Amino acid sequence: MGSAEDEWDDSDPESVEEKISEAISSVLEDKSIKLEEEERAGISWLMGILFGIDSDLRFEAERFEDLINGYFGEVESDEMEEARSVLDDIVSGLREYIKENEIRPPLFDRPNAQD
Amino acid sequence: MKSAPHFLTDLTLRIEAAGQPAKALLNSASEIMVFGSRAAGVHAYDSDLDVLCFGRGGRLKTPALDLLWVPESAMCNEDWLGSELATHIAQYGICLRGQATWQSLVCFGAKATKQKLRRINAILNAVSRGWSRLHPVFRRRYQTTIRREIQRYGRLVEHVAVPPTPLLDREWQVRPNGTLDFIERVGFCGQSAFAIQLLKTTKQQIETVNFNHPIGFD
Repeated sequence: MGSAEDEWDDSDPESVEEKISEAISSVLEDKSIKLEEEERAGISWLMGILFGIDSDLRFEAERFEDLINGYFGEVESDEMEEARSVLDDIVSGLREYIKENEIRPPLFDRPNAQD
Repeated sequence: MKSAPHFLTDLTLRIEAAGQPAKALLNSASEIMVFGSRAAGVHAYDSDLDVLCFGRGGRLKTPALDLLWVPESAMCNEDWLGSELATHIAQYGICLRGQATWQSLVCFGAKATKQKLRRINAILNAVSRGWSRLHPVFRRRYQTTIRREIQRYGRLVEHVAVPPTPLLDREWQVRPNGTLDFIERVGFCGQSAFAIQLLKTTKQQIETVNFNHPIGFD
């Protein structure tokens, strides 16, 4: 999580998105989460599993995804700036959660989870 | 092909389902166009409805609806008229409100083609670097994304409107060599070999294939 700032490149949303995919892949591996093919595994999906579907972090993550995906793959620079700010909020939220709970974020009940 | 009144009713229901006031929202648009797979009649049962409104508003995106706003001031500007979206809508869009006079002004701009090429190269570079660390779900997703973006790029280069995604998928199923030959011809920043191998990889191979040590390729 600490590397979000290091990996960010305003001119390369594709690389940012791929790094996030790598991070989520690592969580999936770590937690042995089995995914159904049709599931749209992304940062909002993961926040939904970790914190619940109605959580602020999931909504923030959804906003982040919309911004970084742009439209027809075209992402404007102001969208990238906003995406970075939203990602910073998500990272802060995760850090706060971890600090408050002194644990790693748990996996909430989920039919496909295999842990 | 469904009619404009049908789409207007459908759109209203989808906006309301998103918890937004449909009437007020639609009244603030000077032009409304439906596009994408539903407009072309090639949608799946759960496809979203793609809508473009000219005016002031924020994007409304739900699983059932993707409503995008473009400022009226942009209607006749070069960037808009030369964009992938404008050329797509001019070909496949259905006008629900307004005259859509801008449609006759669209032209295939070099900027859109350049942006697409930049995006493809960026994805190929990022994915080839991170391949070993990607979960099979992401590998499959990137395989599809890269293939579709290359197909779209092919259309832009030929000054042909990019068709809705289901038509690109159908084309790939029927005639994959067209896309593979195109990749060889164009060359993508030294990543063409990776792109071709990736697109030729089967669903079963994708979990285990390592592109540093190709398995099962000619």
